[in-house]
Amino acid sequence: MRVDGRDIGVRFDDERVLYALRDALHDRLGDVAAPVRYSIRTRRERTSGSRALAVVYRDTEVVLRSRSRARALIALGEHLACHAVTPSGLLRIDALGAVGDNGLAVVVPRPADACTFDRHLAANGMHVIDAPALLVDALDMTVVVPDPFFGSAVRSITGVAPGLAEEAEEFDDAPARPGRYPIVAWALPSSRSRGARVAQLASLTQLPPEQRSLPALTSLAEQVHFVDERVSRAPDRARWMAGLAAANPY
Amino acid sequence: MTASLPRAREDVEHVVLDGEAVVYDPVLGSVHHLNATATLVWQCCDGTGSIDDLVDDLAGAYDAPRPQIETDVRTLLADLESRALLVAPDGRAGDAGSGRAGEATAGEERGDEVEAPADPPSP
Repeated sequence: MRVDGRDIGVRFDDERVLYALRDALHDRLGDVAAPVRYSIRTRRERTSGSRALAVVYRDTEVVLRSRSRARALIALGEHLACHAVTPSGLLRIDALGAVGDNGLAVVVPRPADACTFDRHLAANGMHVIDAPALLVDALDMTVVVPDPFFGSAVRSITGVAPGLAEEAEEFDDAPARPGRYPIVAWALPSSRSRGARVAQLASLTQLPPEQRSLPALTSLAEQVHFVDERVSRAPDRARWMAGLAAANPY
Repeated sequence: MTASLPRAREDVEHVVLDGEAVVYDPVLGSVHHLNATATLVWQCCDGTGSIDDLVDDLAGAYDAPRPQIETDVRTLLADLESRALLVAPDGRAGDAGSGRAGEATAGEERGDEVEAPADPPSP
């Protein structure tokens, strides 16, 4: 498919995904030959009758595993959206975000075990943001979870397979819903200076050449509550993140 | 080789915080963090003064031996040029591939370089 001028290959095991892509990208979907970059497996049943995991791969790497096919499809959309132009006024930053039940977001460096970390977050009442990079509004210090890139596609599939949309909410690992979430804490390695912190954030940000982004990053670096991350085990890190969200220093 | 009248590139975006510059090069997609000394030298590179002029100005400002200042300035200029933050002698941006702060002998004196992601980051 072609997303904002980029050819991206997607492999799938259910032709409804193709219908969904056509439905969602009708004006951008070209019939192009491209190496497979993403794969999505959505088959519902195992031969044993139990529900199979839906899996999204980027190249050969698993980026998401879930019992929810809808969540996998929406997450694939967010990965594809990252190849498109970043919405004006927002920064796209390589980090992992999670939202507590109180609607506050905590941001941490993306862990190597991101595709299994969500279950630890869920166990602590946190909802992961399913995207390879976070959309951040530096004006109001919020993480923005956009409406699904495949919103119409999910509705389209729902028409074919009633109940699919509800699957995204059906499981304990339900991701954060679309909305804006104030950032209550951001874990970054200690920086020696304000400049170092801005440079650190800039290195994690997809900086569009045509847009001045450093003032926004500076604003972010000046206003967000940064913390040192001192925990490494996934369950401990998830508990720590939930504690930060619950502490709400505002 | 540094131009005789070194000039900072004007097509980069930068902010200065507590005397330290963070510079984003939209052409190469790279981010540079310059410490206060490197920032001062970079900002003095306006294309009108020679390296000797730069050394004179800084020697006065820092009250340090001129030979030491000259060595430092030339080293910093070479580093800035290797980061493509100076207009090259032929008028083009410098060769960014020729040097990185991590490979320099005094990286702490000059700053850090970090690369901005060109593509969506790996999960």
